[in-house]
Amino acid sequence: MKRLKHSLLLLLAISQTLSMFSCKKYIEESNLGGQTDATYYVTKAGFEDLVKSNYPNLRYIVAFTPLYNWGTDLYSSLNTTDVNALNMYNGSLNSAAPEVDTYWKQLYYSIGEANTTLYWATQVKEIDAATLNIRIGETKALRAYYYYLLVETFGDVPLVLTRTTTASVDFTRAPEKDVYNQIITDLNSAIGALPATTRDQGRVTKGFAQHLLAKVYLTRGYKSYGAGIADFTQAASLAEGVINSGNYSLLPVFANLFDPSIANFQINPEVIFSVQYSTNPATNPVFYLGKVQATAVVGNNLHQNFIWDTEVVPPIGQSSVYNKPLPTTVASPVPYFYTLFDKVRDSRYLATVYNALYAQVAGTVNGRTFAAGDTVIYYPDVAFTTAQKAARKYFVFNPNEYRSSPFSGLTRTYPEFRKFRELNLPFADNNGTRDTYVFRLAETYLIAAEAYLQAGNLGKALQYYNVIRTRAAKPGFNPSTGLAYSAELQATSLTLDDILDERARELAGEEMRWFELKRTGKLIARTLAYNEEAKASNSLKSFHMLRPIPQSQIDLNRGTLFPQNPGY
Amino acid sequence: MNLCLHYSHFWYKIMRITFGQFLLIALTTGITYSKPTSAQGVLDKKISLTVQNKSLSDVLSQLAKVHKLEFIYNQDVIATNDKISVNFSNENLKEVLDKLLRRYHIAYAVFKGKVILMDAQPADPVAAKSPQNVVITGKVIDEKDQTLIGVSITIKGTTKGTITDLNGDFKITAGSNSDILVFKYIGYTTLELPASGSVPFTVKMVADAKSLNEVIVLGYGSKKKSDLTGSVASLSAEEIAKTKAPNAQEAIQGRLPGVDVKRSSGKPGADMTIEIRGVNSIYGNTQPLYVVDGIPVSSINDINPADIERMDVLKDASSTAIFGSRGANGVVIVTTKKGTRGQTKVNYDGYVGVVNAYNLPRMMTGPEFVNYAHEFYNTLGTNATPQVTYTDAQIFSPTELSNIASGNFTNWVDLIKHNGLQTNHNLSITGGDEKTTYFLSAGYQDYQGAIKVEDTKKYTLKVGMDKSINDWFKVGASMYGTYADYNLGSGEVFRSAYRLRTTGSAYNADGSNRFFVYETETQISNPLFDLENDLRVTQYVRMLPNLYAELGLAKGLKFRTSFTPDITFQRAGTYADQFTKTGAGVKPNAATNSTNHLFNYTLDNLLTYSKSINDNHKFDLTAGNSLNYYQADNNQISVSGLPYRSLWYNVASATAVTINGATIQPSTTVSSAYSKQTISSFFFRANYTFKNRYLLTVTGRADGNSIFADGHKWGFFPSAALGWIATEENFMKDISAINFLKLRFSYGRSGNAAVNANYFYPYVTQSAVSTTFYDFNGATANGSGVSTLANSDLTWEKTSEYNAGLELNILKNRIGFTFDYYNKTAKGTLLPQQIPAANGFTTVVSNIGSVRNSGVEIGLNTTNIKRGKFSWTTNINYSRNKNQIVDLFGNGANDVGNSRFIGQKARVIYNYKVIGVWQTSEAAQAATYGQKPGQYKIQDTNNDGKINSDDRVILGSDIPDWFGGITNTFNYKAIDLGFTVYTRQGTVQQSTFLDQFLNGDQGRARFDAYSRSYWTPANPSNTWANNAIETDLTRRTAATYQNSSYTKVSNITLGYTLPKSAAAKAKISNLRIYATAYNPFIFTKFIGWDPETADLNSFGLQDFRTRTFILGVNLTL
Repeated sequence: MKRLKHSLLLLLAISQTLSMFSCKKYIEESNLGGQTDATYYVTKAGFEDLVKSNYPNLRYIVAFTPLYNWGTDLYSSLNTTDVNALNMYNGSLNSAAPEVDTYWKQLYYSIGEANTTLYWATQVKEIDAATLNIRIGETKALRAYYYYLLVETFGDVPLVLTRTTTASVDFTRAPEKDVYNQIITDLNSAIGALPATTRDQGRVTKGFAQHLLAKVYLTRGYKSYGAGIADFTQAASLAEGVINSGNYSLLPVFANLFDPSIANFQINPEVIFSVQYSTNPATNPVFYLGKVQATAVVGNNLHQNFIWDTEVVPPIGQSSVYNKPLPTTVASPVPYFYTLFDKVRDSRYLATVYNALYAQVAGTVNGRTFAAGDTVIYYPDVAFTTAQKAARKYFVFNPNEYRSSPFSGLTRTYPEFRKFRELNLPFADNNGTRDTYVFRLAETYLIAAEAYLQAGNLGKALQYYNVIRTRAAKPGFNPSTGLAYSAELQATSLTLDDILDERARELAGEEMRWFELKRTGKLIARTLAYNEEAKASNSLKSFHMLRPIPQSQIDLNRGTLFPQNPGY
Repeated sequence: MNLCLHYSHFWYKIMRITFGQFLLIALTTGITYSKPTSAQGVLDKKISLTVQNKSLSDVLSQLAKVHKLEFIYNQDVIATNDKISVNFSNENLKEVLDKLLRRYHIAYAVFKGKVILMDAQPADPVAAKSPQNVVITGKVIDEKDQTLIGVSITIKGTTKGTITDLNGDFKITAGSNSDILVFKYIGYTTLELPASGSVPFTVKMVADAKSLNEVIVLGYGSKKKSDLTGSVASLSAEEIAKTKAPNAQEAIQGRLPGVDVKRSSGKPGADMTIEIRGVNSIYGNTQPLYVVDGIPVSSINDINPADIERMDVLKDASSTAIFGSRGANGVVIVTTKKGTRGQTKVNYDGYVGVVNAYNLPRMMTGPEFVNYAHEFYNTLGTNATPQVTYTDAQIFSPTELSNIASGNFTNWVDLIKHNGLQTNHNLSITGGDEKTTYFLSAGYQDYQGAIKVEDTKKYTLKVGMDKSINDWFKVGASMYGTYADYNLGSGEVFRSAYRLRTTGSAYNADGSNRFFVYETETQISNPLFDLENDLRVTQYVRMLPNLYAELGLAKGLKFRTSFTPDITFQRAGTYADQFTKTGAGVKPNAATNSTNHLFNYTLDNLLTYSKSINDNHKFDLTAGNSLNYYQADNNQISVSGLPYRSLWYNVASATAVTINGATIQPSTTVSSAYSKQTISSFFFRANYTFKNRYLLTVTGRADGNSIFADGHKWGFFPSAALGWIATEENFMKDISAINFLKLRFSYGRSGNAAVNANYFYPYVTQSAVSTTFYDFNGATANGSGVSTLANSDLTWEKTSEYNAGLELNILKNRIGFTFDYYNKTAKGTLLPQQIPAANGFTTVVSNIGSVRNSGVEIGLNTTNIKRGKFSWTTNINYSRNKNQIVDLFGNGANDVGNSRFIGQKARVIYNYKVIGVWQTSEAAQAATYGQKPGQYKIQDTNNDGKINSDDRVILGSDIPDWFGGITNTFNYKAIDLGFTVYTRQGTVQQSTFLDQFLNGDQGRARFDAYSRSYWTPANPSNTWANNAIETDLTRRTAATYQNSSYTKVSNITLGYTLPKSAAAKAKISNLRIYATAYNPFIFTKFIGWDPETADLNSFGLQDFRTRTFILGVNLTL
């Protein structure tokens, strides 16, 4: 009897407990906190979200100041004892250089996201064909932009056009020519699909694709495998198309493009495409490879990149008027940059840099005492004599003194950029809220000028060039000549160097200077002429027209050998 | 609990699985073997009996009466005058008879349900005739002067004997003074003493250092050490308690062969990491499975070492296969203390200690630094292109110049360092009667760090009760609760103290703290601010309740079900004031408030069956199933813009604040996450012993895991092991020098599914979407992207292992020796493998590659000296492991991009090798490499005249070649002294110290204040380059890899135990006072703070190396 009772108890206990695992359900995966691609991207909302996820990638891409500016005719690095590989073109510019590694990875990550988007575009349901076409156009235009940056930086690169579901370790380098053909195909397809305007400021529109395609043809025109004059003509006509589209116009006052005290200054008819940042920190993070990095970066850091650390001057201190530099990426304008401006006639000089810095609090520096509001540092247009300097209460730095500093031995003290200033930010890293202009109409004019110049039509070239000069001029008349400043700035002859100089004045810190110099074949000559550090290093060679392929790509590509660019 | 009853489905399922059939067999055999008339049936009868001070014959009659037994014997056989006391509770008759009769050399046999007693030894005619004229009385005690009850004392060569009574006293009559008394007691070394000693005398017996009778806890059961077939290393409560280690893992460091214990953080009370028998996964989790009282848990850091009864580390696949998919990295089994029958015992252990930082790298003094800075800038300027000249005013700020002039330097390290206090109280009460036992333990630990503010407090409470309802039903419940309060302090303080120039000022003229310590230092702020304003606090309650029931179903057949949740409620807060390094003096006060909930449970059902057939065959069978459930969810609120110092307690108060004229908008971000994983398992184990000398163990387990995709969910992990106790063979019994010899061999398979350090990582096979953040002209435009490449083919790593072992005890068990050789190969190791970025992803988790660990483990326990009141014992363990990658992609190719090479260790450093510094005389040669004197000379491995990535070599690995420990214990009268030395050899790691303070932080901060002899034209060092000349980061990094091998004295303890008589007067049963130096010395070539945390980031968790000097008292009532 007792034993029977035991057995019954046992059976009950076992059956009750074991029955739990009898449910196959017990080991089914359940994820209450998330969704998967296959369930989400086939919905309209999910697909729209997927398209939107392409845009944040741009924040990281457009912030590669060192890769775009160091080692050019205009910018050097902040330190007086420069050791920077990208600026010096020394042995440290090799396949292990972190900048090329992260740049490569982020561009291919972004291409991957675009390819994923184009895949789900074929799967999504419940979306109208018109919207879908526009989204495909946006994605293709972005993919073309990434490939343009890749091919110009690295030369032959793997051409990946479908989404990855199984990892490949067997990539080969597609010839530059093929990459260019793909870029042109994608952009033409985008131009056909995209609308001229969008309600979502920051989305890719037809103007983006046209402007980019103009630049792509302009760039290819110089190449051995390009179509030469035909490419330049094509570029000119595309640029002209944007200029004459009626969708864009130049602002009358250059400074207003960059004046954060003007409400909505970034939403203006001159901007063709800008990468968006926000005053809302929740939508402002910058992700690398789609993920928050160890130290999350929030917001734009463009304002930190063309300045020196004024904080070491106590009367200026940690003010919100002057921003804090990011020492690892600061591009410091070389003295030559300041000589490019006609300071009498050109309004862009003082719209671009500060020629004086003011005390924010009372304080003493190097034995001189200042009250809040006093001038602390002044950069005269024309060098002061020793006597003139001595007569001033404030510090005066002549143009030949921009490469050193009495405040901090290791960094320079030059008229720093005000163009990208962020007001009302804490004096700290990043957190910038201003959009980064990627394409604006002024550049379209200069593309048109360059394209016509290269196509042999100097008249048209001068016409577009002078539009920019006219807008740049200060208002009013030159008292000594009685002529309008705008008239005095008109050019009557034009060379490639003139166009590069004009780009420097008009697009300082906006254009990707290294790309412009490379395109025009002027990288070596101009850099060695004007960048004293690169000149002293004297190791810039023609092979530097391509950056080294990151070692990670070479090491991880175990199928066929992934060749390094020559020279590295 | 949700029950879903699909019986037919269940049976169908179980039939499909081989061991499901086994379960049925176990059930039916249980019924077959429960016939009441068998001999086994009688001997298995449960006996409960208490008798005080009676003769053996009286005890036997009592036994017969109470339990309705029949004894048949000749009175001569049990002719003894001994008065004995016994207390048996629910033990089977066989055990009772063994205990009662064996010491009188009385054998027994069961015949037709009756127990027949026989004289097992021929009578000694000489002894019988001798006059019984020497009466010896005395007392038997153990090493701790506790009385030993029931010690058997016999006169050598005779059948005469007695046992000690409840007071440990004995009385025996010997034939003459030349007779030899033999003292025997289970678990103690047998003693032989002449009967001529003074009368009365006290005999001290010493426990076997590693007793063969020790019971080892295994997965789902336990086993006598002598019967084990697998490789297991153990540490007892006493040894754990003696180390005074702050946590359980640290207590086993240097004590067990094959178990490599490392620090994961420099902070007080932090968790340790363990690797058993090498690194078994190239990238995946290498941590063992932790099992507390039978239940898998995520960590044992919350278990107070004082509550641990024993720790058993299962190493070979035969032992771990019962844990299936989680056993491949070994299993650490923690058994916590439980109640014991008998009178109530109260134990208190308390100590206080001082935590002291040592082994600090020598930094430059103020004047040294000033000279250095001059030299540095001078060299830097000279070597610059174009050249630059630096004046003093450019090198130093005005504040620094004035400090230099007045000789007023700041030692930042001293400012943040102090001697921390460590306090520990543990109180336990145990007791019980025949049917009920209870255990109560309360602990309080407080560990201050060597950096001010850091403080870890833990409060633990264990309560448990076991109750036998009747002779076939037993229930019990227990609860282990921990409340932990971690105050980690600022993550910046330590790094800042090493970064700041000694020429700065910590204080303003008015004595207040100065935020930026000199004018040009605008990034690294004064750490004194962070001590107060940068706070990291984590508090949690962790509960490990357990509930079980045990049913005796039939003779030898037991069913046990147990349910154990593991629940953690954690709350964490961080606060960074405007005036912290993070706040930089300009950012609004910010805080995060987060909670983490972990809810896990394990539900086990277990059937065990034991059976002996005529003493030649013994079976132990175990079968069961287990359900494991893991759920984690968390949420976090981060805000900035707190208007006042509300820490993280008022996150809603964030508002726009104006700092230095800028009005800064508040920000609030909120996040939450969830993850769940479930595992369903079936397992069995069969042990078979033939003639007490041939041992066989077979185990198997099948796991179904939710984290894998359909078709990959289930895995099966079998093992088998053989043992042979040679000393049980007749031909060995006469070799008196060899007391015990066992050979064992095992083979098995186990798994590893963990791709991160905690336990498992769900959703790796799914392409999850994650939110991306963006805006279109200020309007939120968040999207959702795929940031990881999913791999639905993922499955377990599978490890095959064989193990051959030998256990040998010689010279009266004074020397115990164990030896193991193992070879284990993990296949399909889980790798978040880096892939070419052109894929659009940079990593994918996949099962590729194979890694092998092979090695030897040696353990040696010796009693070196035992003479009178002095004894010296030594424990030595040595482990050498060869770790190597066997295969990566199936084609013999290396994975250079991930620094993985076939034939090399699983984790290696692959980089350039510094072979010296270019000297002035070598300028021309240096120039061919584009270098100059004063820079590091890199090995041109392929001799092609240039240095590029092809010249990288394997510099070493953080995986040790070998490690070992020696523990010596000395006892003299009431004084005991012990020390442990631990060594870990053959490791190379990057020194974070060198990386940051040799390489980083030039100019801005203290850059190079590590005091060393570096290259200058006048000082041609070949070790350290001149940093003003050597500006290449790649080469400077190459100089930061250091040999991180070390040898340390981990423990020295001196104790004094109050003599018994004095204790008795004070009415206490034991009192010991002790002094311990914990981690007092380290010997290493490593340059940095602590070779145990060599490559830990200097931000966050890095800390000084510390030692602790402890004074304590242990009191038992």
